[in-house]
Amino acid sequence: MSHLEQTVFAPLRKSGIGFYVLFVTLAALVAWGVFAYVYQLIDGLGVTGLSRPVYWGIYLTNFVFFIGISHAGTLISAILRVTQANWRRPITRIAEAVTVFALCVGGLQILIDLGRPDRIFNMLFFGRFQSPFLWDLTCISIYLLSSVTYLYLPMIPDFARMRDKLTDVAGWRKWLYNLAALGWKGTHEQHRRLEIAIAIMAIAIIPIAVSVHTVVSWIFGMTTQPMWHSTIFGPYFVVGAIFSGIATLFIAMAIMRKVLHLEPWLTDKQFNYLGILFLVMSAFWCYFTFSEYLTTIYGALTDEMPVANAKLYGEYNWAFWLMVFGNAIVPFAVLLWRRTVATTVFAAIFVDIGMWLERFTIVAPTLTRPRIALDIAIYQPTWVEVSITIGSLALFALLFVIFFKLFPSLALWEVEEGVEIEERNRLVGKLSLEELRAMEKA
Amino acid sequence: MNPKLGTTMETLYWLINTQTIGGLVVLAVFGTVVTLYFFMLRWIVAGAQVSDDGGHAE
Repeated sequence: MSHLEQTVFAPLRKSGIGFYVLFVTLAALVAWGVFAYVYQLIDGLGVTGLSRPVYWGIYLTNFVFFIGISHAGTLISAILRVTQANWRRPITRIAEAVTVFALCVGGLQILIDLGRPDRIFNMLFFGRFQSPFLWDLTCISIYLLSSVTYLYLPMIPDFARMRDKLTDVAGWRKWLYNLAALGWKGTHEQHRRLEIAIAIMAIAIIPIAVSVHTVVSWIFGMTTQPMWHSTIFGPYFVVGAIFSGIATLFIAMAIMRKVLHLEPWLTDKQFNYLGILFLVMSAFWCYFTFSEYLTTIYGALTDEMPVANAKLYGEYNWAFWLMVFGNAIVPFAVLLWRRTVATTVFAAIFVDIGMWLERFTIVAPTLTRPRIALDIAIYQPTWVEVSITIGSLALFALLFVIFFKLFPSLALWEVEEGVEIEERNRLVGKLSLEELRAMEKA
Repeated sequence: MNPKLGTTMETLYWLINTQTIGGLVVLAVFGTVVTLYFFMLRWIVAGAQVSDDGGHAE
């Protein structure tokens, strides 16, 4: 086995004490979240801080946040694949896994937010296509399906390799690898068809991903709630999604690199180049946020100013200014000069917190100050909402841990192909055209 | 029929605003995408039956 195979297969073969401790801890947090949800299911949404007129709170914040972080996975993997950026190869598997699990957990938040989860079927039985919720359901379900397919396709040759080489694993795993390999033989024609399929998926998934967060923004933007009814919510949410997605990807990459000893493949180059993209997205986010608030404050509409004031000076000012600090100050202060593993992860943690707060400052303040003549409402999340949020984060991490316990953390054939390409490029400068052609024929 | 709207607009209005039609559209779109992905996977698997010189493998 090559060094790459040995390193990537090692965690699939045996598990240390660290894995079991992590698994039990995450499972316990998920179980606590389930307990809180069952309590909510039995006693009703009255056990949360939600009430009239604050119909949406932390659950919708979590929904938008998780759908947002799903963007980096597919978008980064797809865009970098389409632009043939060779440095993307070691990170695509991690990125695509982030997408799928973030979508699963994000979709779950809607079910949690419904007091009666069975009423989700009303969307199909009684849904009218006039409703942005139905646009949401369409786009997110297609995105989830496409992301699962886009994650699975490059895994097929790896499944075949595991089928053939991992003979010392449990019987059910051998059966799983054999089934998932779809009889892969690795012929030239199969490789050609696989690469065509992946290329088509990479191109198709980009507009799907953009449409997803645009329609998520429209469940706010299509209402006439103060500071929700904004024309720039579509691109604002997409930019924010990519921004938070890259942040999550940094954290996932750094942890995987350390725990699974992937340093030879997840190098400073990946963190540096992704760090530059990260700064660009931070700049875009700052531009959209400034534009949004300047327009609101300059217009000074009587129903929008109370919401803006609540965020800038009122009871939500802590969330707003922490958001600005995390999303605008920290990335530029830390990453403008050096983009290493440590600096990017440091900035990424602040950005993930900042972006969650951004979603929260969009959802809650508006609903506490509705257009209709009501007193200012108060939204105070309860232990139920906090527990379910922690459980959801733990579920995301747990799905990640289980996935990379069963399947390789790097796309083996893609990384090997990348090494070959780099070697070829290196030789291009040293060999003549005739020598290169002779090498190709050999 | 509203004399101010043409038949096309009326039909479009009916499609967008009638309940259950939305759910059917979601299911139709989802079903189409599932079918496409299924055939794509089948096409990839069938590549093993094609020999590298273009004919069918033995």
